[in-house]
Amino acid sequence: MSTFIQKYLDGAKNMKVGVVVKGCDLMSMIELGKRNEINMNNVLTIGVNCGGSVNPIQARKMIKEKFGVDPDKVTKEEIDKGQFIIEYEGGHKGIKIDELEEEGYGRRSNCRRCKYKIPRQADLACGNWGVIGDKAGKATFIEICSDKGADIVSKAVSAKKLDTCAAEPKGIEIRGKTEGAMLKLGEKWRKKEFTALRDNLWDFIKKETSRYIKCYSCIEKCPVCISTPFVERPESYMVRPGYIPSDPMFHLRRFASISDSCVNCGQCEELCPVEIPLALISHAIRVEGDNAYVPKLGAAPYKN
Amino acid sequence: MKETSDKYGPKAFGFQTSCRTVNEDCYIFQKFARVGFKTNNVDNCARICHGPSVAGLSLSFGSGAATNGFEDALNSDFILVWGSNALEAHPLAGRRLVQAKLKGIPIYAVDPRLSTTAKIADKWIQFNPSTHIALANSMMYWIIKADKHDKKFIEERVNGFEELKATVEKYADAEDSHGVPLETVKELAYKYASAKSAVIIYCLGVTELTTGTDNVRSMGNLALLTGNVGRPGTGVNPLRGQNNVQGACDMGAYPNMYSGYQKCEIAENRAKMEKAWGVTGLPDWYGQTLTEQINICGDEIKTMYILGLNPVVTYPDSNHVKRQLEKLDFLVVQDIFFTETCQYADVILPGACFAEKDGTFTSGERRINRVRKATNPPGKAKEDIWIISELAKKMGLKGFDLPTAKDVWDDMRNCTPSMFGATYEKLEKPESIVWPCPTLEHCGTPILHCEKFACADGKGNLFGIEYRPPAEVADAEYPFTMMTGRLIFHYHSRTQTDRSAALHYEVPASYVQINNEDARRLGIGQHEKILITSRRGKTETIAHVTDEIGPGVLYMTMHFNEGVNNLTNTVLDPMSKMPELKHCAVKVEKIGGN
Repeated sequence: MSTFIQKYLDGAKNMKVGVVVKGCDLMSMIELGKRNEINMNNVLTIGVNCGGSVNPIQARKMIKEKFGVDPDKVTKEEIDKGQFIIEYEGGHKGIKIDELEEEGYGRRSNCRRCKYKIPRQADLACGNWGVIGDKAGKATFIEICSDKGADIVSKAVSAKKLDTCAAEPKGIEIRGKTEGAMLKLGEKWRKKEFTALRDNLWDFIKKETSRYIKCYSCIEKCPVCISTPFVERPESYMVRPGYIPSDPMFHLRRFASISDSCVNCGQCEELCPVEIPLALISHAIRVEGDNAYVPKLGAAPYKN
Repeated sequence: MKETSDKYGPKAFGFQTSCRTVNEDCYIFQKFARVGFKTNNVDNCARICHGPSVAGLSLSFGSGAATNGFEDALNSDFILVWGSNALEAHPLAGRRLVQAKLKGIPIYAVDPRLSTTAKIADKWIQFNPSTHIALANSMMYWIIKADKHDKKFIEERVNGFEELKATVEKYADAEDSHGVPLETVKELAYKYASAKSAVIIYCLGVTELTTGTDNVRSMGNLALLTGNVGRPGTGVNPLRGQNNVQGACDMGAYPNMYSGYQKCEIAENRAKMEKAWGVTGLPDWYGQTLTEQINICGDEIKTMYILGLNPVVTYPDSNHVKRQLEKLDFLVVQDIFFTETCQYADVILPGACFAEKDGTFTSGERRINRVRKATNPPGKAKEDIWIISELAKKMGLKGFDLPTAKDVWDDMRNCTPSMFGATYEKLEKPESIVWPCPTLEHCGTPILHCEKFACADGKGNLFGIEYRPPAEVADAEYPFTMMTGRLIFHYHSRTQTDRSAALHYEVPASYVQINNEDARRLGIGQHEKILITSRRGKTETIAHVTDEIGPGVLYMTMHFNEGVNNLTNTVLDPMSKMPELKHCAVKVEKIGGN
């Protein structure tokens, strides 16, 4: 989403854009804003709570194999109370996320580690977490997070496009609990996956990147990795053009470049034709870096 | 074109379409050739990548297409990759190999070169270039000798076992031909035959030779002998060269077949197509194939229409191609960019790229994938079906009132039994449809030949095939064997990819891989510019000195103008008319002679 605005809408430099964002979309846009690649003044962001996303092909497979339901019959899916729930013609069914993920189904692996569930750095932070009682399924929670957000809501109300009411305390409590439960789950995955890297990190990186074929997807789609021009680029003494698997510095320089900015959106890994867990590596570097050093581009407004 | 038609008749035309353009373009293009000019001189560039697969797999299994899907490799117990560098040439099929590897499924790669794909394999089997039949026959000798062939499968479903057995008797030890040590041959043979489900994934290393069709039939032989067809995790799967090689063939851009492989020589088929298209007098003769058309430019062929191809760079013997195109009275080139071939054109029609039109591509696993128009073609460029329809209408032809891609697709469906059920509506699902899909209720056929083969008697065919060397082998004057292949960074003639700054940066010019011993003997240093000459032409290129290729063998990629196709040989596989792009004899010289 962020690279779409950057590349195809000219970074919203000459137009106003309203956009619905998950946490990773918003973090990516904030990072591109810092680099003057997107003019965030022209962007109105409507955040939604997100418990993680499922690759659509994997989701259809999971629905067929684990739920025993024809994916074409499914009308709605959501992640709630630790379950992946589907609604379909003639019923609904939920299976525990933990159980699905143990078996290799479930959310994208970067989503499992995510700890930015309600994007409060957006102008509005919406979503269904905390919408209870007769409003469940019909209304959205709105947290107003900026003046821009307040303005759009009041204009929408006066234009009679939106009905609002105060959030019920019980709803606020449930929203907080749901968020807390998801954060806890994110921490659990983080601990599990990062700890597993601790003892053999170099070997792991070497082994995984040895398959690298320089398809450039991880660079093209990364919201925080911006290449210098290729035309008249000075000679590199460590990365020979045209050679695959690439020389090791090809990876090291990319990890270094995005070290304080990787938002763990997972696009690099999703698109990698040789299945290198790139997001896992760069996310680990970011988390450890944030933990130990003062960030170069100033503290990020989000926490992940 | 009308003038050519009136003066010289149907055989004076040559129509050639790309396998990179959508099915709808390929279909309407061959319909235009057949309806407008009553010619079967229409072909697509599958001819120079997987023509032998269509011919060979048709003879072995009755259907000239991959038997199983890409993802199905994950259901295998053993993966044999033969003459395919999937990681570079087919990265998404390569992704399935990587996933299989991570899952622990053993992968053996048979290749004369330590390719990127061979590097991730569990074992690299290095063999002499173009000795596929000798190696496959040796494997089969040892499989039969060890009684590891699938006797029940052969008895119930296969013809020709005795003929095969008699032939492979002579190949107990064929190391002199293929160069693989006997113990390695046995290991490979036993692993393949012993696996519960084994799949062969192959590519142009197998097909682009004068023995291409027989090489493909040898892959079929291995699978039939061991019962590795018609189940998940098995099969014989060509990785089709371009994203619509399967589709361009399926659509009837072929000199002897209409869409869905309906042969033109059968009167019933012609009558059916005449009725469907509202014409009379469709030709029954076998048209000229892709490079045969080039060979008779100026003689029989006076006018040529090329849609999205760049023969000056991609066909064998570039000098010959240029000389031939110059002999034409009239050449039309329809393309998205001004290519090297456009320099020989009388008329250039600017067409549309995949993102500028609706349509479908059919992948190598027979899956029909929709593409959707995202933007209008730039400038004066037009959607290709619009261009062809307008030409047809100007000529007063009926049956070209097909304004949308869906109209063209439905026109095709109505005369193509194997795809009748594959409506645009059904292609909306992410899984889309895998043909054959004969009826509206049918869900498609991901695995072919489950109960019977598509041959007339329902059985698969084993063939006793003798090894034959390539047409031109290394000799005293031209002592090196030149092989060709592809890079991940470029696509064919670089018409598209060299316009990407990143890809141009990675590989801006051609190079040749040469064995370190050979380089040392000839005094050639790393990255030194050298001259390579064959009987047909010469090229200057950069030496990449490496141990990833055997002594006496060279490797160049086919992407560059004035590159390896200045050297390659036009001689054809008699069965499929595939030129011998992967094997010719060359000599190597230092430039300036010092």
